[in-house]
Amino acid sequence: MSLKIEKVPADTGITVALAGRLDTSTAPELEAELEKLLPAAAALTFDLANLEYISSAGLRVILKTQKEMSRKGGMRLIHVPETVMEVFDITGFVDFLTIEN
Amino acid sequence: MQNKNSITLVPDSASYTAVQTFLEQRLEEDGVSLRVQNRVQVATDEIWSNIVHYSGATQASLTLRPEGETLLLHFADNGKPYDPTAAPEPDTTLSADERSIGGLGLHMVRKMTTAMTYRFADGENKLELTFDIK
Repeated sequence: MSLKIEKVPADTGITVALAGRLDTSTAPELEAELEKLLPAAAALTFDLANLEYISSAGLRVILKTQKEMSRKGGMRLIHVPETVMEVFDITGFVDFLTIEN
Repeated sequence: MQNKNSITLVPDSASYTAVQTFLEQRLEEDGVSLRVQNRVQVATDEIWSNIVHYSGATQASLTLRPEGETLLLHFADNGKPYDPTAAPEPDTTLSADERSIGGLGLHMVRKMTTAMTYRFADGENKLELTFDIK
């Protein structure tokens, strides 16, 4: 429940805006959505402005997507809220993610 | 089964929503900051999903107890004995290509809490997490 996934086509690639919670119950929805989108996406931007929190189930999808997009046009995250940033810090994800706030 | 501070249910894939809603209402009522609420929800997702996926438990409960400037979260389940405090630490310095997600959830729980204690008693795994709510 309670993850909203919004897709906005951009000049280069696609922007995916997430709102709500990215956890065990919602991560499969995002994974399925990305499986449809990524083959056609040159580059990917995640807009996390309205993401309340992320658990390791969500990190798994972010990591998988990062691995896939790094072989293409890349992946960046924008508008990362404080609580989500805390999780990226704790897990060392900050070291390999491209975060532009 | 639910009362003011506790919820008991069958830990299946449909149970997450009930647990989240219980925490949300209870923490809101106590005026716990959004920052701490989010931490509690993340930690609970990690622990509860372990119970759902690996424990084989047929019953699990979550009890919340505010104590001064801390918040105690107590999980109990009747599944296989499993001590999450003994789980090995993941390497959080690896690059994306070298990374796997194993162990990250419990690592997050450790970092977000001030204490994590486990015991097996009365046929149940009993795990207590302490959060700083200042």
